[in-house]
Amino acid sequence: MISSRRQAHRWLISVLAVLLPWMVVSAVVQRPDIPPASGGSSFLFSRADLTDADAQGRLLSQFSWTAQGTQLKGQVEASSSGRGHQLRVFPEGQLNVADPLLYWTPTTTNPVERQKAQVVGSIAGSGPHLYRLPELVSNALRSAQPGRLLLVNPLNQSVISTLKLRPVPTTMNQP
Amino acid sequence: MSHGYVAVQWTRRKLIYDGILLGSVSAYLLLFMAISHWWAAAANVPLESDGVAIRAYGSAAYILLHLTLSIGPLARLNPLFHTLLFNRRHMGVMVFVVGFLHVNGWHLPMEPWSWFGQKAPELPWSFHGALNWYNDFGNRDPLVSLFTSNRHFNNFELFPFELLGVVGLAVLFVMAVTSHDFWLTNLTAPVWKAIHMAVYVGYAALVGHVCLGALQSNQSPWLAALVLAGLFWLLSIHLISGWREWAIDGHPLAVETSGWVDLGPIDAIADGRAKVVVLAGERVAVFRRGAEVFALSNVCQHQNGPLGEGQIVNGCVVCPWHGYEYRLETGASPPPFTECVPTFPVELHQGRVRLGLPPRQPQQT
Repeated sequence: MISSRRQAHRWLISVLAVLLPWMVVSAVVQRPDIPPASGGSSFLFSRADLTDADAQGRLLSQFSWTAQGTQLKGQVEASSSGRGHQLRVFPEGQLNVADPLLYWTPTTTNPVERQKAQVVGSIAGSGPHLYRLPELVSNALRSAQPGRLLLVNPLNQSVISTLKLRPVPTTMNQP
Repeated sequence: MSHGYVAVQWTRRKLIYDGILLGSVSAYLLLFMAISHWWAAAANVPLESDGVAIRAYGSAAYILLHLTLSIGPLARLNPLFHTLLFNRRHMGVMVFVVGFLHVNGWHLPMEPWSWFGQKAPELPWSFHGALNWYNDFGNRDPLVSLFTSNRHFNNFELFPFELLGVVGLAVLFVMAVTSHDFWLTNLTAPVWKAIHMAVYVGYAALVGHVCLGALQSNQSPWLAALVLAGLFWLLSIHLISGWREWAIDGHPLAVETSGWVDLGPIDAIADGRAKVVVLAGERVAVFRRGAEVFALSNVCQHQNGPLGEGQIVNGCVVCPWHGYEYRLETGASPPPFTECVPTFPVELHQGRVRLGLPPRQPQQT
């Protein structure tokens, strides 16, 4: 009995000795230069200032955005704390790209220059997402040129889809 | 008839072992979190205490799993490590507990600090585990989100590594709940050991969890180097100790026409120690006590430890793993214990040791 178990142990360790180093090396070699974003990415959260976003904002405008066959509904809200605007996005299905990033760009020209765009946050995981918009974006939303939202593939930084934003009312929530 | 449950019988040795274990894990967790916060503050980088705690507990469980899995082969290579082996199961349970906290988090009341007018330390006395932290931002139940959010099973970079962690934790859970001697006795050592060999499957799943998770989002070469070093260390000592074992099994003795097997001169066996040979597919430990020789099965009835590496104390062989004792003459444990191992015919013939077959059935005297 015990000798057969030693034999099983020998086979198991031999298989793992081949499989696991292959897996580790492959994972390291194939990992993207830009790591896939996750819902817990502290960098993105801090950039989006998400931790201060209000759960209940005042609705200013709504939009519907179709990206790769998936509809994303969104709305721009005025923060109840009077600290500018926040963006709420509801993907109605799973996007074909994992952990896509949401950018904002002031440019309205095509093709979009992603290098000039600013990260808003990550649409990782499911359910609604809430982003505190940076002051720069907030100011642009109140102007005649509110800019665009970009959906970006984090693996190759390609722009998946863009959405032209509409100006929001300027009478409320002046910082 | 099944065996009754007896709670862990704490001894001074076990208390010291567990105290060192608990203290080391606590120190690691506190240091990891304290250094992370200090580093972030120095670099003026925002840091989430929940995320830091998740990483601290995850890395602690991963490191502790390596240490736990190292003890077995190290004890095969050097008897000094038997000291760590005797309570290895507590270390395994600790791996599961720390891994579970990595997933689930914990919530300790902060009020006691305020009773003494103290502000609660910044360390996470309450933090969300990985399950809630990464899956509770949406409108789905975190567990549903965990199993359904990421379906990139055909993509190496985006593979749902969390599910590999679930597999690893499930295996560790089975190991932890069956680690008590109650299960060992009722399942019998061979079945129990076979079940616990699944820990290698769990380990493989957790290596995948780390490689496709932490190594993808953390680009530090140091982390990759540490993961690789841990893997090569563990595989190397398993292979080296395994080769030694397999070499013994690869040279079974053949029974001569006389019915005896010649084991060589008695002087080749150190007094008070044993020579281990393979006969009829199993190992036999041939002990020498002065001018006498005794042959017993090499397999301890408790956890199948190697009796041939044990010492003779008061006429009994003491298993190096957990101290189970068997009389040299009969293979029976001294009363009130009831364990027995088979013995083999053995004789001295012209200064040479001769081993015979068949084995004598174990019997309690």
